[in-house]
Amino acid sequence: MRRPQRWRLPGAGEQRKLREVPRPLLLLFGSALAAQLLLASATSGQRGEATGLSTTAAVNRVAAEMPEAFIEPVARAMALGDPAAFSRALSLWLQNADYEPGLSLPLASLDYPKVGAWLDLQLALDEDNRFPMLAALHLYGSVPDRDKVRWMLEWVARHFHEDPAARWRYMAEAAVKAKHKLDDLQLAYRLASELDQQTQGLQLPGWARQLHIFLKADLGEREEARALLGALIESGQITRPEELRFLTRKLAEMTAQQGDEISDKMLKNRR
Amino acid sequence: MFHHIVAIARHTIRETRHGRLPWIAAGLVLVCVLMAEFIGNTALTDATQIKAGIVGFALRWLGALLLAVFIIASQVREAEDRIVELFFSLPIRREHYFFGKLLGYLALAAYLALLAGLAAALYAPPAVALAWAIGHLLELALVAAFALLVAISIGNITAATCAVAGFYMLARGIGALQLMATGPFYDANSLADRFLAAAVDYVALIVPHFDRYAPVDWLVRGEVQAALDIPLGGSLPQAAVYLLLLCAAGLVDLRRKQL
Repeated sequence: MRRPQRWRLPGAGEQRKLREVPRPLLLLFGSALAAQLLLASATSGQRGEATGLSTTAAVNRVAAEMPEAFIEPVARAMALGDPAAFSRALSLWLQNADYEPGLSLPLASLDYPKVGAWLDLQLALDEDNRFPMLAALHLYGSVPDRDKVRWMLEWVARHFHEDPAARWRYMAEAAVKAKHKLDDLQLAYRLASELDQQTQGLQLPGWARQLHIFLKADLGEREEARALLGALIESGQITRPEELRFLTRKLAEMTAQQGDEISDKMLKNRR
Repeated sequence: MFHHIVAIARHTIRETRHGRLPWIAAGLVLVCVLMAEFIGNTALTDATQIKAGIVGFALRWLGALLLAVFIIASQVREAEDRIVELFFSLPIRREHYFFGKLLGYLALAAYLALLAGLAAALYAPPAVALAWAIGHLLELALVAAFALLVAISIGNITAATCAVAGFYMLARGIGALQLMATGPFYDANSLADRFLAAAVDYVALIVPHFDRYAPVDWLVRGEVQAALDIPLGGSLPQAAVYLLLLCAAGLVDLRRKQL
């Protein structure tokens, strides 16, 4: 029976058996391999120690050294005709830019205008890249620094206006974040109402469409919120019966609350 | 013994001269410098740093590419033209042939590193450029040894080039891969994440960390002390041990070759 031939690349040639190799040579190979493994495992713990700086100093240095974003034409030239892939490579880089050997940088320590410029560039190279909006909301917009969170929410709002149909969800999230993370109802209402205005004619879920109305109510402007909700129901944009039922009930509650407030005021005036 | 090694090394160096490699390398360095000048002059700020970054980045890749392609093409041609068999028909040990070839290629690596260092010195302090060139030389020495090993054992230009490219990219990116595997999105409770992180760590044990050898940020920052400490303190022993390992692997493979 014919012995099956070993698969080999053309040019590789025949090989002798390993036992025909001189022992000292095999010993040298084994020792060199063991030395490499030992040295590599000994130096693997040295990640991040090269700078010799204290953690705070290292954080400050790394944060300060984030490079300025490339200008768009240079970035396009560097993309070598593949801006979508380059945009995503930049996303991956930025996602890890706060993470240096042995050092995890607090995101809030980063220079936000620089981060924003990198995010701008990624969107400019590929408007379908979802990373910048997502990162702005959930990475850079989730830090304990209220001013930086506000900065990022404004960044999201700016880019929402460029493409409301594709980016309405991020704007809605920004409004929710402004309310719950910043307790800034004015900002939340502004973002939500911009969302409503810019998406007229688009198919949006009811919760996103009604967001500004409920925020208006939270702001204490119940009369206006009630009017807006009434107008929304009247407009016929709400087609699902269960949603219509919920909103009608909400409208009734608002009206009742408003009635109570009016009667409270009247009682106070009489006294 | 040594005169055989030196003679083969000389023969290899002569071959690089006949292939016009020194001129090609010098031309590429010139193109990189001109490109860096052009792009750097369009920058609003940090023009010198941008130029240093472009020159360092481009020359690191080009040096490794040029060296690997030359070694692989030369070795495969020698094998196809039966020159290797001719060498082995002479009273020359296979080890002498291997070390002679390697010495010749290391001389070429030193020439490429020198050119890159001179170009880097245009934009960075000389001490930093020197440290960077030493780091680059260590990196090129390992590329040369690996290219020689795969060219001898695989003997196929396409496959050997792919192997060297994969090795080089892995060695350049292994630090980043380790960081990413245990980065902010690492979940210690996830079996897949733990497996991936462990796999990357094991790979890191058997590849050199080129990311620490000659990073371009030395040139960009121009910090003399950091640049001098790292290549001589950390990379030199690792490169020496890895070179020994590659030589041993190459010799074992050469001994097994049936000619």
